[in-house]
Amino acid sequence: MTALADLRVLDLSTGVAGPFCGKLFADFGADVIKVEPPGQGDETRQWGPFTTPTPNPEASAVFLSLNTNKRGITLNLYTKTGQELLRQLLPTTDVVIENFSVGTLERLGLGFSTLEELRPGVILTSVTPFGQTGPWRDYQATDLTVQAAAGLSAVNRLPGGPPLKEPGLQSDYQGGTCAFLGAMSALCYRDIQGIGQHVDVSQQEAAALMIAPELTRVAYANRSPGMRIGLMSCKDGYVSLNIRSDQAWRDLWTFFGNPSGADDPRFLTIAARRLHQQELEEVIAPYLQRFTMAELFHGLQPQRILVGMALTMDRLAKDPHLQHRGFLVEAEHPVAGRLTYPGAPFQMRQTPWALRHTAPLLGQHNEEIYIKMLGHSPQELAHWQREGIV
Amino acid sequence: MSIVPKVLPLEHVRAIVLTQAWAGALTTQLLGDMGADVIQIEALKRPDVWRGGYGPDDLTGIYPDDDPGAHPYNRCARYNSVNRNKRGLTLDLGSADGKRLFLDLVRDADIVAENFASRVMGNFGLDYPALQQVKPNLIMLSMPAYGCTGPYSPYAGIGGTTEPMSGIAALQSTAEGTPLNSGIMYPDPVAGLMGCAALLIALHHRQRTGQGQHIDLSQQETSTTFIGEQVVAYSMTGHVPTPLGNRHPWMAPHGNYRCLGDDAWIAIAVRCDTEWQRLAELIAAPWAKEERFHRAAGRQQHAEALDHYLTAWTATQTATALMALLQAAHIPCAPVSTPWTLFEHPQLQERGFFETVTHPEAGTHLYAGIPWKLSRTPGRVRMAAPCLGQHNEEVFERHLRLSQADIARLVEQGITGRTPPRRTTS
Repeated sequence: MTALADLRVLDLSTGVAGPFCGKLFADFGADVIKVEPPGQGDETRQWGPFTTPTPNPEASAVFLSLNTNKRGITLNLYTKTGQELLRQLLPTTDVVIENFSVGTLERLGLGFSTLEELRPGVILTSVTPFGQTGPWRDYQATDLTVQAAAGLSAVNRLPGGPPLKEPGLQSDYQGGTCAFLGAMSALCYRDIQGIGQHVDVSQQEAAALMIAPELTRVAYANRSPGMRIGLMSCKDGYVSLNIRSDQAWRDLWTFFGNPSGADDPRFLTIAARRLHQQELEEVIAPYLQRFTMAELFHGLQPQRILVGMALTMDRLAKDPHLQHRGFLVEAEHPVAGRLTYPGAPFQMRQTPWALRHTAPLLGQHNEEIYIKMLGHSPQELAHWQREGIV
Repeated sequence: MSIVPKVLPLEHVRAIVLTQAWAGALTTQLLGDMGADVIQIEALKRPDVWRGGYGPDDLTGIYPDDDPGAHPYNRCARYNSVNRNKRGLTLDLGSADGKRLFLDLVRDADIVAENFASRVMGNFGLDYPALQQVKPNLIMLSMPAYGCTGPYSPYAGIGGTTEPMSGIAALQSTAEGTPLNSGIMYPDPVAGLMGCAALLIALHHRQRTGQGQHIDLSQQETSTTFIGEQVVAYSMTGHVPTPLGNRHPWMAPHGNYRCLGDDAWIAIAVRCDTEWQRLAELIAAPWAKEERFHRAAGRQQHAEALDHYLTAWTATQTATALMALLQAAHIPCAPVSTPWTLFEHPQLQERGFFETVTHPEAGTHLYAGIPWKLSRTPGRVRMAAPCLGQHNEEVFERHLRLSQADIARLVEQGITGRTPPRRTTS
């Protein structure tokens, strides 16, 4: 049984943030219909890497990872017929996700009040770089510029270096998750009161929440010690270490086979070790070189010395713990073939996450939706396809 | 549809939470923001580690105006930043009385959330099967570092160790190639958001079916979820990705560039050749017209030179002037904000993102707000983060029907109270 099986979601979004929100719905059981513009489809279909040497819109890693479990149709919302077909989908829709430029849906005659007339209780979820209001609402942005605008890059710099972004597409995932949270809160309210609403998510605000403790430090005492920390080198990679007590410090040296190393007067207390962290790392560096990441992890964690192994993608893919928990799942895609996907972000005992099917091909479910669900004829569909509407 | 009751979306929900530090505390603060009645339980002998220490060795606490005050644990920036909209109760779950009272609270609750190491709730005799005895349709969220099952599950972790384990640290590096953690224990807020997602899904399911459930969230896995596309990409290509710093697989220029002023920077991302043409026209210098920069592939290949030239151009202008210029040409850019400047950000100010909150012992300050806006039932800051045990009497008397004498006895036994015992520093 899945938790959200009673919900239908129209995912009009492209890129990363909106589609990730839609993915969370789909992965926990909602019927998510992804609506893509005909022709190119979602922009992430053009992003690499691909399974093929040349770009292939059906084999893009970013698109495939963000659109699992969704059905896919194409629809040109910039045409009158396209808008009418979307309106026909509304009466059975619970949630609409969109990331158009602010005001676009209104201009297309698909603003919240229209959607609500078609489907009382509908929840419209808008996720954009800066939200639906304010002087920056129309500004162009990417993950890099949103992280910069939210203060996230500033706390993630190396001493003396430029502000540094988090890797990958972090502000998109942050915004997408907040969009999901906003939509789900609205759904929990609708479950009780039967009333829908418009959810407005700004990726900048989602990213700013990530540094809430830093902001409070500044507000309280004008201090923000956020700074990136380099990991420590060992025999076959890098680790982070967290030594939380004097006992742990002694245990570390016992593990190194040199118990008297703990007696160094520079490092006797937590405060002293924090104060002399650089020197401490220099002193333990040659000892770390004798051990592999796994030896350090499994040797020290049972003694409550916290170790993080810097898993690169190849190691992550083989990590025995993730394998035991079934976090990485394999699935066959008709074009991209057999690939590994991240699995359940959390394990729900009664309503487990499931990869029911991989991302849709462009327009894969056009017949299913337009003919079987909405009751149009194959001739009509063929006509719309010729006209570039579908 | 114009008359809508002035309520919050989760007003019907009560959560009894043992969450601490950041990840779990954020999850349950978000529930509180949406209106849930969140009762935060702490042990008097071991309050939330984010309340800071209170011995001479403590360097972790940052207090208003650098003054720890008489009760530093009520004035610590970190704790107060992620615990608003909760009521505070101290209770020793290790004692028979404490455990009994906890179960009484659970009997009347919808949600229990905790982010202890995986063994802890079992050791208390308070794992999900035990709690389900008193509340059959309970929703319980456990969010230990590595989850409740699997070979690493007994191990504790913090953001600084789960970040490397999630694969994120290896995607960023120093110039020498050493993997880098974020500056902020990034896996914590990621798990915090995801924990809230899990609870809302479970609430919807329970509303529909009457069924509760246990949720096992691994902080390692939620962070890996945020680089999910890298997992798929690796399985596609077999190439271990190279850390890119501020660069991008195909966009160029793509980075934070020096501007006029003290430590001022602007982030610029050029997504395509037409955006580059518009930028080159604004730059209006011979180098910007060089053929090697015309196409994305060329700009990638000569990224070093491109960044060098572009920095020379940006360094003589202010970030705000550059932003106005570039945004007018529809080129993605933004001045780099810092935790110091963010409170003044015109967009966040206009949208009312920051919340002014008065805390009984820490005073009045701005805090990061609620990162989603519901048009009809927006979240609201109703309460500052609780002082240690601030709502003891209220909860004991009103919810648990204890007498003043009962409460006094619990205080005497150290099961509850407002003042933690003096701790000697280790």
